[in-house]
Amino acid sequence: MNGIRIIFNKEMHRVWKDPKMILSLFVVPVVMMILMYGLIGMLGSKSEKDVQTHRSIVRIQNAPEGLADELKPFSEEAEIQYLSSEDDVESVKTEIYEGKTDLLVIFPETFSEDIQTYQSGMPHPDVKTYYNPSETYSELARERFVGSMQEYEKTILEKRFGSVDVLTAFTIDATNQESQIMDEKKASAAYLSMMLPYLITLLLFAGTMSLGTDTISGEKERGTMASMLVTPVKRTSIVMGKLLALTVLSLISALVYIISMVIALPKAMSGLGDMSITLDAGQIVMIAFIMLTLAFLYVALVGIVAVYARTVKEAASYVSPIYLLVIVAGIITMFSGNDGHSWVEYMIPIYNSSLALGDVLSGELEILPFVITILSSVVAGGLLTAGIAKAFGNEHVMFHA
Amino acid sequence: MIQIQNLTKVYRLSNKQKKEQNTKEGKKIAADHISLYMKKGEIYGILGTNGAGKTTILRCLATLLKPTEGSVQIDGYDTVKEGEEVRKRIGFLTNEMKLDPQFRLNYLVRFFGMLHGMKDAEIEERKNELFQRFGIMDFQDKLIEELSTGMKQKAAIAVSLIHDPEVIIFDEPTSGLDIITARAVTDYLLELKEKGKTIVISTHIMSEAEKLCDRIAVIMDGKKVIEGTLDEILQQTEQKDLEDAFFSLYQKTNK
Repeated sequence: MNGIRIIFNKEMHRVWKDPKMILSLFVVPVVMMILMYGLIGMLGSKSEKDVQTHRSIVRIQNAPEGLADELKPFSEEAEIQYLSSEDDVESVKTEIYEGKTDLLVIFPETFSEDIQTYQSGMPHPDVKTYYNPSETYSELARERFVGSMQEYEKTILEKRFGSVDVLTAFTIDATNQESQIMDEKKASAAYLSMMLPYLITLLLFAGTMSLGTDTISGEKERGTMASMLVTPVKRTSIVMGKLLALTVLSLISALVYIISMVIALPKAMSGLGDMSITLDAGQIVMIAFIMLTLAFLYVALVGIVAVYARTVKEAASYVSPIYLLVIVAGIITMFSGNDGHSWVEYMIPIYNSSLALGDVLSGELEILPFVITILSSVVAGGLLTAGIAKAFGNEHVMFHA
Repeated sequence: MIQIQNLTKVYRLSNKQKKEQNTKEGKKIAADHISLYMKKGEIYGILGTNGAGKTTILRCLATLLKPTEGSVQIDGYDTVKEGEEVRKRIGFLTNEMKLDPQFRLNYLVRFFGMLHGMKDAEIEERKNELFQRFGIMDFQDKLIEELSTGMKQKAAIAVSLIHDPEVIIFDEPTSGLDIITARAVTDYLLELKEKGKTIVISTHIMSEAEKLCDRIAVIMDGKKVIEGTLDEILQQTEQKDLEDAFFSLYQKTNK
């Protein structure tokens, strides 16, 4: 036990006494994340505002008389240039393609007469629009135009039939202002409970990756491991001390991430509504257990790779595929929904933790899947730890003998 | 006291190692049925060219490698079966073993003292003694990476001897050191010999072996080719000094 404590303390000392290490592990990632989300949020709201205030640039050929009045408020929000039938529309189409003009509308030359002399069975006058769906402004201009035209159509029909009532079979939510029944808080919490487990599993691994390869492969590479191996302390104590320290450090690193994210995310992404979630004590305990055992499993996983690698570089390249696997497991849980998981799924390490975290956040985790998840992580981590301890005693692994 | 009986160490070579060493053989015999005996209160020198098998023998003594055949006993403890007991009694130093560059010397000395089960007061006392002896008292609060090569070697020696071991195993302890630092190291080894410690060093510096070692074994290609005091070796080889003796032995084995 004493050996484990001494090694544990040394590993912690390595991190806490090194300002560069603290900076790179705990400060830089958080600052980067806040900046990143802040930037995304800022750009998002800026572009949204920009789109809203933009005056659409529209060309209309053969516009029927009085169109501008009929198409309010569209005509007031747009810079409209009216073209005669002789004007060249090809150059306008090129401008739309290039994103300089938002919308081209071509009315039939005889639009007004066609409307007035229309009789049942005659072809309808067809208004042509040209726009660029890859341009936000263009797409929006057409959307607004079509909306206004529908209103315009209504007034024409009213003139034709006296009333549009006969043309309406039913309405949907015409009188119902309370159509949307949702707790906005819950809606954003659902979003967060989908994202968080994925991010937690991911961030935990990211923290473990750099630290784990350094404390094991790094010490092997630098020749500092051998100094420890010639002292009477047990191999298993060295392994346990290192793995425990790594577990604690990656937990701290993940917690710093999560807390800063929970704080930074809602501020940055105000468009998504209130994203704060409230957890009761039971949920917090469950999350803590899941994260602790998962961190231990990750550390053991990185540890076994690191102990077999000759250099930190080699270890990093071996760890990358595992990182991808962790990402995939997280993505699967993100899209697998909240119901219908069998207890067998809770036996698959890593995947189960992500699954269980999602369940806890949405308040649906039962005790059996929880226990299975914890046991699965501990057993898998324990087996890997035993493998690492065995490798520490293997001269071929430790000294390439 | 160290008893090496029939020590044989065979390395499996990886494909990469085979290429590096330009061989098709899957094995390399680094130590070939070597038997040696080192007494208390003597400095025993293992001499050999690079790759002769010196470091392999010393690593077997330090429990880092397991003999493929034969056995090593240190103060009566078997290096394979009673590794922990052996490690309590040895101070081991080799060039490939380094002190962590990110730590302060003071911290590392304490750390290794604790790993040897020493109490704080014991560590402090022993540390002061060693640091004063090697003139590194003023550097104890420096990071290892800030120390010069000579200082690093002195620090490494101090760390390896913090628990006052009975058996001292140093692999080329003066290699890469300037003449003054090297002298400080060899003088200290002589002091330790007077205290009755068992000391084994490996070297390829003939003058160092002549001055320092009570008995010498010459290892070539993993085999012991001669063992004895300096006089015995000179007599057997009919040479005037150790360098000539070594060279004649080298020519004989490489005929």
